[in-house]
Amino acid sequence: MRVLVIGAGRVGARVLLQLKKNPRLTVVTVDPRERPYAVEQGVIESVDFHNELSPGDLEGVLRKVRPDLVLVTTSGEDIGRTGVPGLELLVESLRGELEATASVPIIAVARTGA
Amino acid sequence: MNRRLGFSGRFLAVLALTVLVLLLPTPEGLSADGKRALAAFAFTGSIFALQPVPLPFAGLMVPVVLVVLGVADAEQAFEPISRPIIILILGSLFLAEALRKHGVTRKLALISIVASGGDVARLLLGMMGLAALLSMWMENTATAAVLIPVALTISTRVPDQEKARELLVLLVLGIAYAASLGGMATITGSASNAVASEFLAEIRPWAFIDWMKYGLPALLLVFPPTWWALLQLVPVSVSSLDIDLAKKELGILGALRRVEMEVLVVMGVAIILWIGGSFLESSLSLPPTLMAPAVVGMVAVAYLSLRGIIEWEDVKGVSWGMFFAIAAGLALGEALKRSGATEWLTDLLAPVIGGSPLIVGLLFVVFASAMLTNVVNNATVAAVFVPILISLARDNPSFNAPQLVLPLTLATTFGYALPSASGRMALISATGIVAPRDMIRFGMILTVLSSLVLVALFYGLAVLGLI
Repeated sequence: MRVLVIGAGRVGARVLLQLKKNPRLTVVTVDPRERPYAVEQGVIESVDFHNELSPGDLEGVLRKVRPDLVLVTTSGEDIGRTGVPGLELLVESLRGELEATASVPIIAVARTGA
Repeated sequence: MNRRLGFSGRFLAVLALTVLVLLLPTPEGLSADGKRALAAFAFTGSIFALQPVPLPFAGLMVPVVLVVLGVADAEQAFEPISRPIIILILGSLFLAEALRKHGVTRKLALISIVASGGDVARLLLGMMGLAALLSMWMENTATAAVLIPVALTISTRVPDQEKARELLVLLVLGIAYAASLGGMATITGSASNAVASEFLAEIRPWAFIDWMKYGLPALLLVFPPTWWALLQLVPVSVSSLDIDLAKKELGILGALRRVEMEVLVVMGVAIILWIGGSFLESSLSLPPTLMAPAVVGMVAVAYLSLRGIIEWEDVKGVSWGMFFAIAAGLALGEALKRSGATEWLTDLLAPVIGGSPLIVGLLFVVFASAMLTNVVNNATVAAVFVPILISLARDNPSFNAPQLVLPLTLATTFGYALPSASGRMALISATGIVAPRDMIRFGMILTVLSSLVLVALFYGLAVLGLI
């Protein structure tokens, strides 16, 4: 099973740690940054695709990877600017847009307080 | 760690500016209290502009600083949070969240895409029209945040990347500008409108409909030239778009579901009562303020909550920043008045505004407000300058307060040039969709154009005796 994880920030790192428990899963990662949190923390060595979280940018990745499941873990924090009003809402709307337009199952993983 | 240091640095800058104002010699005619109130203004303006902490926390710090500086006691400083206007804003934010949660806003966006038939000019008109319509009732930045992803999806239907980017810039700027413009029409549309309304209500009866009488025509007059100018400024080499995906998706989503209809009906009834509630109240001899907009808004929210249409989890993420910025603005404005700082500033501005023909006064307040709002929070602009204009009008029989207060407040909408101008501009700057140079260039042109239209409208209204 191929799982595409969008976002390798704090939430993404936690998701990736869980996915690593099952070695039969093929995990592919997308994040616009060179060294996102999951790389810094050594959860993954590097990011597979450096694309933004937008339907247009991700269309090509989805075509290449052909995942069975997509987990969207990006939050405003991962876009690089915290405190911008509406950024979390924009990211949430982008996740919704992806869910609505992509032809593969997409699940948004919400950020928790921990 | 670096981020924390950065935030601390910005907070030190806020404190330094505040202390600098306190240390400057007191100008002639300004009391010691007035100087401390001006320092509070420096703190408010800079903390909202630099945002060393998220906006809601910044808003909460302002009343604290007013108390620390001795220009308000705790009761005076925190009292604005409980005002009906603040509760009305909260109600409208909660109602808008219900619209968003149930996908009504996205469905409306898809309808406007399909209705455009793929024509770029009509698509821009539809998206801008929807943004303006929604932001009359929703928080403007939230409107933009919900619609920008739709623009991203539409632009991906253009195979050529460069052309897709052109279209994206056009749509995103259109959504951001229109989301600002829509806020002109209602008291709930913008923090500055709410602040100005509170001050106007102190000198004359001022209801929801009174704002709309001037705000709506302003929106209707400024909107078309903005749409037209954008099409000229951002040429797009795409003549028509593939809208099949939107059609297909709309087909899958189907007609409005029962819950979506219910949200729309509740929102519609609330809007009707916000506009006509006071008339109903007097004609049906209902208890006073039973139909006050804040009460109506909260009844609508209570209904949606009782029906399970919105949960507390859904509304936790609303724009608390706007909520606290209005309360902070009101508390600051009152402190400036009490301390005598407003009177001092009025004396300074009297020769420019009070002694000039109305057209000159209008040009001055509209352009000053439109430029200032690029760096100062719009609620703060209204909180400082609306009481000054009210004070000026009291001393000058040649014009009345709304003739200048309304255009000044509405012009705070035209902060298009910098990311610090508004949440919308900060948002599109954060996404990197629009280059900073383009944001300034297009923003300045549209600020000048919109300001001239606004001046013409209010001058015309004054000449015709309609304001």
